[in-house]
Amino acid sequence: MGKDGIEKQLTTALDAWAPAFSPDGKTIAFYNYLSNSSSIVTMNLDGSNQTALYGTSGVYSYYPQFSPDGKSVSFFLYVSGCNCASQHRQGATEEASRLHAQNSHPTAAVRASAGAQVATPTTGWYTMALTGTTPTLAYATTSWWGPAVYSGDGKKLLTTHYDGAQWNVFSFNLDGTALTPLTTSTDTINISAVPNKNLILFSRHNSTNLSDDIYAMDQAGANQTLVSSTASTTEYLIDSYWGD
Amino acid sequence: MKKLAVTLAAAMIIALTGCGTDSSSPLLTYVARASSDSYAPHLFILNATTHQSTAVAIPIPASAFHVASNSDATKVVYTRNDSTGWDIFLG
Repeated sequence: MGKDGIEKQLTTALDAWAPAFSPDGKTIAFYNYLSNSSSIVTMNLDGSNQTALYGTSGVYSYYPQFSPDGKSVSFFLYVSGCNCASQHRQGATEEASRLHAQNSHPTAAVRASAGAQVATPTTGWYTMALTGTTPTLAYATTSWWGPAVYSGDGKKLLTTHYDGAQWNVFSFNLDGTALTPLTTSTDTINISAVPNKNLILFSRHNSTNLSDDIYAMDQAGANQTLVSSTASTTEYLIDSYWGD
Repeated sequence: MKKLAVTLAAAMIIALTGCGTDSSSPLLTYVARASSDSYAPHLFILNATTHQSTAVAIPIPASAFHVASNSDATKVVYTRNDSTGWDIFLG
């Protein structure tokens, strides 16, 4: 596969999900399920140097995304046992994978790596330097869907958050302050925000043609305009949502 | 002298290409899946200004999940189920 028609397997029996490229294209981050947790792992483009960045028993780590400078990643920590299973949207396939992982633990070198530890983790969004030892809580929440991506200037995270009525796009500072709804729809979902120059693009479900389309808005959420639509076709800026 | 002229010409081509395409900005890509195609993933480059999309000629397995592109849309990574379970592949 690929433009050269060659597909290269980078992990083996890791129960690995949601890979993301670093901005320079040299590193890939993903998460993999363990016996009662999941870890954030980085590796080189050829699959070498697989290193557990973060992982701890009883905590599930999901959806790593690189900062614009490639020095940090954001990811979600789900603390097992918290009463939030009904509020996030894990896909059926991933749930099946998780159950599989809980009952089958193939040996893999990356699992022997010691990940960083948080003494008392809280369910929510975290950031962590690739050279760091401890992730930093950015925003505590049990409502999440897919990854949080860094804003273009790296100073905020853009997330999909259930606001009580619908899934909408929010932003907040890396210290968790200034939670701001960028979309406020009550009758359709808005997900998968990514920065693009001075705009933020996101995916919105169009119920009239049963299509998930791409919209753009400014940094404050204003001037929302349709950018790309194909009827009956999902157009996701982040494919991590697929299967959810 | 001839060698110098060729070198300068090549440098100018590289410089002009870089200026004309805003080479420092990552491309905006998205993955489209259609029911008519059994929801097989396809990668596109989107020009957010002109709203024009361009298909990227990277074959992606229909069974691929979580497809992501690098910044210049020359490679993709994804998860799919192989003989040993769910793993990461580079395409």
